[in-house]
Amino acid sequence: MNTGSPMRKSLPWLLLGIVAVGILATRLHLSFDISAFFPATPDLQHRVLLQQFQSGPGSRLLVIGIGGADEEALADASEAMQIALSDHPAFTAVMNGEVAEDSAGPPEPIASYYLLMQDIDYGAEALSDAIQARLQDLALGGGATLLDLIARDPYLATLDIAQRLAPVEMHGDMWFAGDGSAVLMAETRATAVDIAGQTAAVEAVRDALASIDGHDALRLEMTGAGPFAVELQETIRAEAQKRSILATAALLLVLFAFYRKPAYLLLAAAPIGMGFLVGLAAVALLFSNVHGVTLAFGFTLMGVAIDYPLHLFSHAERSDGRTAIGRIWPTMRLGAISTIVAYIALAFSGSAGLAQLGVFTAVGIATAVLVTRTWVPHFVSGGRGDAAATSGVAPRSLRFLPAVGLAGIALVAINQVTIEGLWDDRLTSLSPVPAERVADDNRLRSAAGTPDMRYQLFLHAPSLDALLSRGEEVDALLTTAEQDGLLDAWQSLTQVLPQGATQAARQEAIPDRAVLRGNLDNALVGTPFRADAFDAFLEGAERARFLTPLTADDFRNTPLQSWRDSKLVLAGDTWVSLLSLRNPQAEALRQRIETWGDDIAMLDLHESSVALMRDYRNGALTTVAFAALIIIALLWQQRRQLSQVLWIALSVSAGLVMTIAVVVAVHSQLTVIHLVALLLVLGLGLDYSLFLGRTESADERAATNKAVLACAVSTTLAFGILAGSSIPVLKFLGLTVAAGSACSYLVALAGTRARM
Amino acid sequence: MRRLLFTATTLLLSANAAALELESILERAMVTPPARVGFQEERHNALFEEPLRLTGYLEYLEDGELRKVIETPFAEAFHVRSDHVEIERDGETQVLPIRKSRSLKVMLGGIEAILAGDTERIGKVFVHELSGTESDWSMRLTPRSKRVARQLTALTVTGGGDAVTGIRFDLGNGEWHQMELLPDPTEQ
Repeated sequence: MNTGSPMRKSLPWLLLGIVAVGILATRLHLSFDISAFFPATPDLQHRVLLQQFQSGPGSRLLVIGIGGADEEALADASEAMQIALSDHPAFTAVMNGEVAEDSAGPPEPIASYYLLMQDIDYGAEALSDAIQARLQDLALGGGATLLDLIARDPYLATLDIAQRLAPVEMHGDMWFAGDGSAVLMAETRATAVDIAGQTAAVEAVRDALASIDGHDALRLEMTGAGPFAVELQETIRAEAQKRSILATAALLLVLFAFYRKPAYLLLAAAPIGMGFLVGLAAVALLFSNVHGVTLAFGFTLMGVAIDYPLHLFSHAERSDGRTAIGRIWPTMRLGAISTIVAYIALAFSGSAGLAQLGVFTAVGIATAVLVTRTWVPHFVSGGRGDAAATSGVAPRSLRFLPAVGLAGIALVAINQVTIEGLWDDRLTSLSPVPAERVADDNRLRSAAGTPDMRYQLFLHAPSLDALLSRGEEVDALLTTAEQDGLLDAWQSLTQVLPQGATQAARQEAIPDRAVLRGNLDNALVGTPFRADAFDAFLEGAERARFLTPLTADDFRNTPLQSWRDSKLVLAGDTWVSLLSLRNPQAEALRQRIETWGDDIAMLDLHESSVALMRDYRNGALTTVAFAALIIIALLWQQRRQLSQVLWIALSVSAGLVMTIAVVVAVHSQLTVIHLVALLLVLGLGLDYSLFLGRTESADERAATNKAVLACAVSTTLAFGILAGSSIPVLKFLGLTVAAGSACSYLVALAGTRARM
Repeated sequence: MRRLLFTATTLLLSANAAALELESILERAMVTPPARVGFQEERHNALFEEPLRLTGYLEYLEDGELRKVIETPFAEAFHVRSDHVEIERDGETQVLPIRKSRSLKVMLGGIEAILAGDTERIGKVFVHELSGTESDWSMRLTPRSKRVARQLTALTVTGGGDAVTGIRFDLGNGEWHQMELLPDPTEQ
């Protein structure tokens, strides 16, 4: 073997590798935001929904549970954590259910504007009723907080407003979950997708606990979108490491078993490694963040890229590497281009996550096949044998069709007959967060009584003023609906931010100080209250008469800012108000709302997310079907033999149908991830069919058989290891490709063994 | 050394004597459900020119179930069940889960422990201080929990012979409630 030439041939690839590493070192930013795999949708409702999911206030809520001690010790720990974390820059608010002594009053802007937030009767009779009710309150309760509140607001209007709007129940007592754990809710400054920010928040919580006396005995739990993302990062890293080591070991074993040349182990790594590096560098260049799942999909690339050197090694047993690659290159090239076409189609499927996968795999495969073509052959020493040009008859048949037909009929039946159907379109089916962690989250959150967010009203208008005006009309309609028993309560922006005209009318309704003083004096007659007990209320009312009307901007830097952000969204140039509903009679309320106009709709977040995924899946299917047509055209352009093209198309389709049958039997239903994995199976099936369907001599046939068997065994083994992962995305991918590789091989083999 | 030992022994003995005294007082004052007493109550706070005066009756219906019924100057009832409180006013009943109100749970638990003569439970919740004689005693209970202490500075129970005659609640900031217990008028 001429060693000078191979070294020279290596240089460009080595340089490319160095450039790729340079790009990765400077531009690789990892992200673990699963919503990157959600579709980019033009629909306004879905856009707002995804925006809320990614960065809405709910996504910034970090739920802390502390257990492992008696209630008193846990209460002490909860208080210490609340104090420590409240001053930490990672958090905007930290609550444990208690109302702090020094901030016992209602939060701004409610404290200043409460008299403009609802209609109040300042007449002598109404005031007298209110004073009497407060007297009865003081016959049972007491304490500085209640006294202060009554003095400032004898109507307790602030309490009504605060309770109606509370994202959590703030009744003044510490939150404890059903299992006895003390619960805190911390709102992080970072959004859930900001992993660095969330990691800092999680560490701050751990540090705060570590500074508590006797912390060793305490058990800390953290849930919420942020902590889950941090955990996911750690899990994906650990899973990817563990399973890649196992898969690599399995591949090495297969390689050695088939070829018994240690050098081949290194040579096989070259196309895979270069493909991975260059593919990842391309993603890093084209996208601002590289998703962790894209990295995990490095396995996908390995599954296809390993095939190229295996074909070369098998065929080089009877000739040197360069001659061998020359003979198989047209087939290999056709298989690679077809697979690349399928993955490029994925890049246009409409989600950033899948686009990354498409680019990564397409570039990776192109690199791997070129490395196999131009670099590896120089290091493969030749064997002896018949290197003659091909002749003979292609041993093809369609004997696999009846079995595959049955599997296809079964799938159609599953899709039509079962209630769930073939597809699982729940957003949660893709969620890598284990079900038990979601249950932990629900257990802790229930302590703070967070409302069910499934149903929301979606109101939109071209301007904020129009939105507020319309919002008040909707509040009035909802009041009637509440009286009719269609829902228990609701939260709307206009409950704290009425339109300017309404605020002005409420200011007009506040009597001047002298009139109000007179009404109050009458109301106090016959009660034990001091004459000056309600001076704070009189001062507040007088101030409210001359306040500048409250605007959306006045919520900034107040405890209600995140509440406003969850209710008011500017999407493009449309103002959107989201109203959350408590215990609605969903169907009856939906029918009522349909009569209220085109600018309002009732969103069922579960239904919406399912519809979103269904549209997404259908879009992806269309893209794949389009890619399949291009591939068939490509096959026709290369082979020009109808029977050959038809055989390849049928055997690949048959492999896919059998794979789907196996996956459905094991996972019950298919998700978008299965669909992506099926693209890889398509690539593998093409590769196997193209090689096994080649017209070649008996010697070459033996080499081809060995190569395809090695490919199928290695891929099935490597992806079988992945199928055992605890992360749904990896598990789905693993099983589909492992089953797909085996099925595609068996189908192609059955189709070629007929006449052998 | 001998003197030190003597002092320590004396201290231990006197601590034992106090515990025995509490037990004997509570044993005699213990109430077995169902039971009912009348009350007169004065509530003092910074908003009142003169105290709010209430009359009515208290019922100890069964373990974990207490009821305070106000008859004058208005009708209102406060019914504590094992896991929730019901407030009856103007013909309407409002329900508040006790599980969610830890301080309320501790306070009510303490009162029930006094009624039931449960010294162990009292000791868990309060630090006690006894004064007076067996015929005219006073027991000041201070919450052990800092959080409960923010809402209830002290609870002072007074009694004579085999009955509790009064309970005073000190809530801080000059706010206090004095409740005098009277024999049940229906039993007279």
